[in-house]
Order: sequence, then C-alpha cells, then structure tokens
Amino acid sequence: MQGLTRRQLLAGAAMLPWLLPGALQASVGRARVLVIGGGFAGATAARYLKRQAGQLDVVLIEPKSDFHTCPFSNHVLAGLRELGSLRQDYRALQQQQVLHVREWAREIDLQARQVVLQGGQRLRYDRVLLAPGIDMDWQVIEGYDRNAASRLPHAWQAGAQTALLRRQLQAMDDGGLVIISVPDNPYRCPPGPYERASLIAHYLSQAKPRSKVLILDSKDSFSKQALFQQGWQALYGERIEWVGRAGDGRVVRADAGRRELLCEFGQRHRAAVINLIPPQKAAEIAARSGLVDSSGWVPIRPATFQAREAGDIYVAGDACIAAPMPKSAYSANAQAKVAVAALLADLAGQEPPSAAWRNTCYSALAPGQAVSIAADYGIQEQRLVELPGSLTLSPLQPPAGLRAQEAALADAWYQSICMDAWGHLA
Amino acid sequence: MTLRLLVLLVLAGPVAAQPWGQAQNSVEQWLQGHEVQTQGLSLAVPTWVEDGAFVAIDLTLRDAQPPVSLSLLRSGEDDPRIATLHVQAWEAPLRLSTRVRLPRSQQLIVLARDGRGRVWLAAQAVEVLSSSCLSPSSAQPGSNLGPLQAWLEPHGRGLELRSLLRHPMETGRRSSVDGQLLPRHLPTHFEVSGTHGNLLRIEPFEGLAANPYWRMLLPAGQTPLLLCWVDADGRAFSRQLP
Repeated sequence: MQGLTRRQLLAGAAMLPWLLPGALQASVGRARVLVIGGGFAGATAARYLKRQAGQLDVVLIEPKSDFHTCPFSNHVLAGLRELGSLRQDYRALQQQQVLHVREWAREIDLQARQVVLQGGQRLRYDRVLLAPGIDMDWQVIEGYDRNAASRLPHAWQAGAQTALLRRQLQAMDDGGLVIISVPDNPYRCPPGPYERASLIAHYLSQAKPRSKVLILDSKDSFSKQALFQQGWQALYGERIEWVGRAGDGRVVRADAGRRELLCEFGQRHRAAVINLIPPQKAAEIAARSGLVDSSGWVPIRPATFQAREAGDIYVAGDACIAAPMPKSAYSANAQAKVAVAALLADLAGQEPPSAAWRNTCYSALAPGQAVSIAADYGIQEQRLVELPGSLTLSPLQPPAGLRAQEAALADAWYQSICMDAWGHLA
Repeated sequence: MTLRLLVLLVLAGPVAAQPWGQAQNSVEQWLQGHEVQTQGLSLAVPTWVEDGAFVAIDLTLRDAQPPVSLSLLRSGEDDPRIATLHVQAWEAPLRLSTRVRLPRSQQLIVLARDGRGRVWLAAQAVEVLSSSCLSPSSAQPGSNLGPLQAWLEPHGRGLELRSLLRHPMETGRRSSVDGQLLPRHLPTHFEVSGTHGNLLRIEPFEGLAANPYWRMLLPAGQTPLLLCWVDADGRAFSRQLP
C-alpha cells in the first residue's frame, strides 16, 4: 500500500468505531465500571468511558504508577531510544476523574459482582472492563520460570525486563551470540520477535561487529516473513540466522545457569545472551475468575467483546480471543472502544452499535526503515472475520523512500495511539 | 441407548443426514457392522486456532489390542483424508501426536480399530480464525526437503519418539505467488521399525500439515529404531536411533 492511502486510514482509525448519541450518554446513570489493567486497552477504555459518559464512576485498577509500552521497546534494546521515552502515566486519566486504585486485582467474584483486590478488599461493580494483558506460561519450557527470566530475560512485558536485556547486550563481548527464542501462536505481537532481531542486529553491526543473532522458532513460518528475510539479507548479510521448527528451532528446555537451550530434536545451543520469549496466556486474573477456555485465553462475544461466560464483563486487548485480529496495541485500542460503546449501550438498555475494526502492525527493519501489514475486520454470522480484500502488506520491491516513509508513519502512529489511550494533561 | 444406535440415528436422521460432511463415506465404511466403543479413544485438539496450516492434535487410545489401525479425517475438504496408521506396538496407553491442515473451520475425526475388531470414533469441531498477519512461508515447492529430525528419550517405562520431516506436503490445489498451480507432492509412507520388526506405518494424505511431525510412545527394548520416510519419487529419508 502506498503511504498516502495509509495516512488516510490512520486518520480514519482515530474515529474508530463509534459516536454515542447524547441521549444514550444521559441514560447510563452513575453506574460503576471497574477497568482492570492500565495498558493500551485499559487506558483507552477508562478514557473513553469518562469521555462519553462523564457521570459514570470509572475506577482504574492498576498497581503501577506508570506503564512502559511494548511498542518501540525493541528500539530501546538497540539503544535507539531511552526506556523513559516509553513511559506513560495515569495523571491525565485522573484529571478526567478516573479513580486510579494502585493495587493488583486478584479475582472477579461474578456471583457477588465484586472485584477482589490482592489485599482482600472488595470493590462492587455494575460492569467490568477486563484488560489485564498477558502472563508468561511458565509450565511449557522446562527450567524456565520467573527466576530463570532474571538471567534469560523475555522482555515481552516492557520495563525492567527490557532494561535487563539491554544491559546484557551492552555487557556482551564482541563475537558473542545472541539467541532469540520465539513461541508458537498465539502470542503478543506476532511480528515483534523479528523486529527485535532486526534492531539487535543493527546494534551489533555498530557495537559488536563479530556478533550474530540466532532465532530459534517454534513455528514453521512467521508474520511478514518474506519482508523480514529480504531486509535481513540486504541490511545485515549473514548476521541473522532463522531456524524454524523443521530445523529444530523449538526450545523445550532451558538451563539458565549455563545459558543453554535444548531443542525438540536434541540440538543444544549456548549463547552469551538469551532472550527467551515463552508461550503466553491471559493474565492470571482471567483464569482465577473462570473466564478462560482450555487455550488459556478469554472467549468473547465478538460484536460486543463481552466475556462469553459473563455478560457483565467486557474483555479487550491481548487477554481475549479476538483472532483473526492479532494481539497488538492497535487491536487493543480499537477493541477497547468497541467494548466501551457496547458497555454503555448495555447500561442504557439499548442495542450495541455496530462495530468495525482495523489493525496495522509496523515493524522496523533498521532505524528509519519499516514495513507494515494491515487489515480490516468486521462481524459476519456472529463471528469476527478479516474482511476480504482489506489486507495490505508493504511491497517486496518498494518505490524509493517507502521504507523511510513507513518508519515515519510508525513514529506518528505511536505518538497518536499513546495520546489516544493515556490522554494528555490539560 | 447404545452408541451404535446413536450413530445410526445420526447417520440416518433427516436433519443431519451427513454429520461428517465430506468424510461421511469414509466414516460409514469404517463403522459398518461394528459397535462403536463408548470409552477409550480421546482426542485433544484446540477448539480454535489462529493458523489452520498447523493444528496440533494428540490422541490417546486405552485398552486396545494390537495391531491398531487409525484413520484421521476432516469433514470439510474434497479429500477428507489426513493419514492412516497401522500400529503394532506401543507403551500403553497408545499415544500419538501430529499436526493437521484445516483450511477452514470443520470437524476433525479419528477412527480406530484394534486387533479384536473393536471400533472407536472421536471427533471435535475446530474453529479456524485465520489471520493474514500470520502469512505463510513463500518457500518454493521442493526447495526444502529433509532432513528427517528425530529424538528419542526415556518416558516412564517406555520411550518417547519425536520426528519431523521437512516437506511441503503440496496438495496440488495451491497456487504460487505468481498464480501457477503448484504440483502435487506428497510422500508415500513413513515407517518406524524396532528390533522386533515394524512398529508403525503411516500413509499421509492432503490433510497432514507441511513438515509432517509425529510423536509417539514406544515400548522399551525396541532400540535401535529405524525411521524412514519415502517420498513420491522413491527417495528415502532415514534415521537410526540411538
């Protein structure tokens, strides 16, 4: 897709997916909505709930005082941004009269219609907007647990893990091997590991020219594969090697002490730095509240993003099963708006407005060079589907300047989506 | 009401005359004249997947007498066959894992028959929530064949065998990026033999995922094992373990 078209689509995305009529705003009363989680989906939901129905009692339950975004955290690993540049806080939401409760939400008591906090306190709700994000599934890779992650960081939740992986890359000797282990689908941000490989390779080419990146992948193919592999060859030569499942790329065991990985068919790999991204699942509160299926993720009713098993609970972002939408920040933001519109309509006793979604995933190949994939989504026969013909993918043979243009668009997208989610101080 | 009667009612019912879709004939032939066992065969498969090209399945068959034949089918394709298996020995219960190809949402069906002529059926619907974000590899047909990966390690009293052959499993129905129909290219069979003879023979069909993967639990005392995939042109990919 050409840049101009994409820009128009970006502008359109800001209007996604709805506008509530004034009469509906007035009729939702002073109901209490608890928003669990302050990431892209939760912050967007809290902001839009208050914006659309100012009299609502909106409580954001989020233990952290600030939040580091996963988008652009790969740039931090490569030394292209400071970690602080990813920090978002909740001051603008508080200014908007969203009450920020700084505690972990442990469980939703569906019978009592209360959210149980870590300290045991219970908060009554009329509706919940659940946006807790992901947890690592520590049961899958033998030897990989929270302790092991302090030596073999996943860096798949931005913040301290990002800083740890960055320090390890900086401390590594020139000539050291960097391994990135990638899980099978579904997981947060499908193209993210490959952007990470790109930007780490860029850092190595500047700071450790004898070092290489080895990607051990549990999958047989990956998002934007042709674009990434073409970019890697052109930009980094042999510096990045990808080993898929057929090449014995699926890691089954980790030895954090030895910094060694064992793969499914017996190959062992030792490395100076191991970034082990494990399989994931919806954050623990979803399972504790009885909302997940056997996959570990939360099934939803696609038109409204209500939990399939609990109509008062709306779920948005990475924790829910919204496939074919990928687990991305863009998706989380769009889903939160649909969920908010449906929630408010429900409170007002009205039918939910019809919804439409779009997702765009940008991936950096190098500083100032990016590719993207985008698609539209809608409801057909009560299912969320990718709309035929809506897929756009950066071309393998781009016109001059397109990669740079897409990198600029990615920067602009990031600024605008963070503003849309967390707002800005008056 | 016996399961056989239930199955017959389902097969004969006016509303759901074809409950197994494109696999109807295969299922009827398998079940003809047999009482379907109500317990013993279980199928573990995700109820939904993001990528129908690689759907992981695990099946377990308890209290079966060797030899066991299995047929893996899917209900929504012109060629419903995934694979047929003939298993001579296993570490009980019989446990097998593989990956199947489901281009769209449909039923996955497993049929089993043991040495005493008993018949089992297990089925589950799988919803395929395909995402273009997970775009497939652009690898050219035939450009990536082999090696045969394999690994054997102790598991309880038996041995766990995992194997994977790099192979496109081209169905002859798929087009390349430039619109050309890719020629059909499927291997003919996969065999695992131990010191006491053949343990397992698999015939793959269109429904088996690319890079065919098999995991199984074998009895101890069979090593060394010889694994051999034979391709359509007769080329063999072999491994001996350990």
